[in-house]
Amino acid sequence: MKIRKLLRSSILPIYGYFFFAFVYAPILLIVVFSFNSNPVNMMIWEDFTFDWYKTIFGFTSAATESALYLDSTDQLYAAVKNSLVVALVTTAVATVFGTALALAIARFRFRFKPFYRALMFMPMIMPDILLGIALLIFFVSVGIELSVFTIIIGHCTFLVSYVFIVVSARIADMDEALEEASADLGANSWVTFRRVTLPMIMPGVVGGALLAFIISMDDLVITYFIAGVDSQTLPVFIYGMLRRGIKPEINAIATIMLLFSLIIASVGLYMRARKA
Amino acid sequence: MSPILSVKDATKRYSTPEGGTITALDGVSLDVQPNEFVTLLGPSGCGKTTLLRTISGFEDLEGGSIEIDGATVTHLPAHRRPVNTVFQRYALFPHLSIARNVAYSLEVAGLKRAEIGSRVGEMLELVGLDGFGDRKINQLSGGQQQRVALARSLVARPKILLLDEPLSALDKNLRQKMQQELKTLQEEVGIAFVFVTHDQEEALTMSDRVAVLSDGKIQQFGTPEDLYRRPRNEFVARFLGAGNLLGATVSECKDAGAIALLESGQVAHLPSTDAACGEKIKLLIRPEDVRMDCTKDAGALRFEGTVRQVLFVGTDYIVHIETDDGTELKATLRPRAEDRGAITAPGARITLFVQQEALHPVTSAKVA
Repeated sequence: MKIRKLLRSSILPIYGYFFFAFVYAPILLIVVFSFNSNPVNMMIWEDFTFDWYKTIFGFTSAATESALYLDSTDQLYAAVKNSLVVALVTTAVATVFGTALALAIARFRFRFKPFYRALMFMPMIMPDILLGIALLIFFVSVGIELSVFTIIIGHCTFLVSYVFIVVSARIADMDEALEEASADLGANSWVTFRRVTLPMIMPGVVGGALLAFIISMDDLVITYFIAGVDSQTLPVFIYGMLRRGIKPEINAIATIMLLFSLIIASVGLYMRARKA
Repeated sequence: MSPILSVKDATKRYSTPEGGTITALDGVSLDVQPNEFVTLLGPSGCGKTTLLRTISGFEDLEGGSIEIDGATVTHLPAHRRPVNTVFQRYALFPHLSIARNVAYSLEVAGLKRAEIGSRVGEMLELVGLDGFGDRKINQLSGGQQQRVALARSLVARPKILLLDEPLSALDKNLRQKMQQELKTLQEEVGIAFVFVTHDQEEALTMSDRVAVLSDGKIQQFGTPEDLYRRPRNEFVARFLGAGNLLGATVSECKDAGAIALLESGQVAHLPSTDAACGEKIKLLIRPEDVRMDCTKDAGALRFEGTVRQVLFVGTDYIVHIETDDGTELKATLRPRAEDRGAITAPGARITLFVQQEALHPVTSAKVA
């Protein structure tokens, strides 16, 4: 009894605080450092500044002129643009194919169905580095030049799986009789899909799409192998910067990325809460 | 009058995961008249739901044909058949309001907004849900959802309404109320209803005719009274209510009738039977036909025995007796006040009578 009481009153709460501290303190530190004006050692607080943000957005200022680590803001912009293009195209393709596959496996009867289902889980289980190397070898041997296009193909190969899994879970919750009811009331398969199936699985489709978008924006390992010289994405660009020492601008970039992910995740959570 | 629904020789097999096959429908033929309330009755796995699903178009037949209002629909997809279904768990669309649920078939058919509005309003009024149109499905009780399902499947004016055990999810009181409402509704809209259930009481109460199914075959198709009083075989007799089935042997067959000897040696005069001379048959005696008083009928069967169990169910007593030759007999008795003492005590001696007219011969063989 006493131990249980002790657990509940002090040990468990402390454990909880530590848990959150370990998860969020590093992230919080980055946000704090992004406003630190010390250009040499960011661990030592000097003064509050927006200079690093100004640098990212291309404004030079007194403080940064002496310590301009960012080689060129043009490269940063190109990387952001590449990341957005890759993420948007990949999300669109992966969402359509992932949803279609989930529906096909849930609704149709065909041979080797468990095998195909397992096949869809494979890209999720496979280590990123393996997938990256495999894709690189494939592109080189087929003779496709590395570019934004190869990144999109690479991302689609595994993000289709993510969408498939999220949408499959939603389809499993849906009463199949609803589709029969629709057909019974005179709707052909397309009308049934548009009026019943799609609205019912929409939270899963949106959730899968947001997940695909965030993972695509965030991926470093696979992209690192299949990105061409002129087609760096933001994570690859940041990794390149890091190799030449940690620079204060990175904190600012990271904070903006964090904000961006937070907004997307909030939209996703909001949509899920509204539909459920 | 030509039938609105005509199923001929319908056959359907399923393959089981173990590699075997199950014959769900084995040469089923069935005619339903316009304006008729027909029930498909049977235990689970008898093929009644499969039969309904082949009529609605969710299952394809392997053999045989289905005609609706003279047109062959055997291989037509579900969305092109002039029938609508009320599903077991209603299958209402949770993302649409009640009015939009009811309007679904009309919207799909591309009707004008004004006409959809007025027909949906009419339908909701018919099922007693006017004013509920804007509500969500999850704001309704089970009985109300049932009504929405009915409205949704009737609004397109189908030629036949199919109902797949729609009352099984409701509690007993509500179920009885809905039975009456369904019957009234069917008379009001004037179309054929084909109703699937495993509940014999439900089937007898509502139907014009009942088809009893077992092993993918129709065992008997007739009016509720026909099935109850004159079941063709032992399966039908047992499935439709409690009854005593006493073994007997046909001893004399004439055109006018037959004579059967009970195991106790008593003689039963039967109006007619398909059974051949010497064949072993069963005689059906419904418990309510067993009487306590000696009748004027001199040929009445007489059973002397001991009361084994008495159940008081309000107006009646259900009495199990064991006759002196070891036959079990179940009787529903409503004794006069002065006779009550004679039966209420287990172990009491009792004499019971069954009139010849109450005997009905059944064969033990199912329709094969």
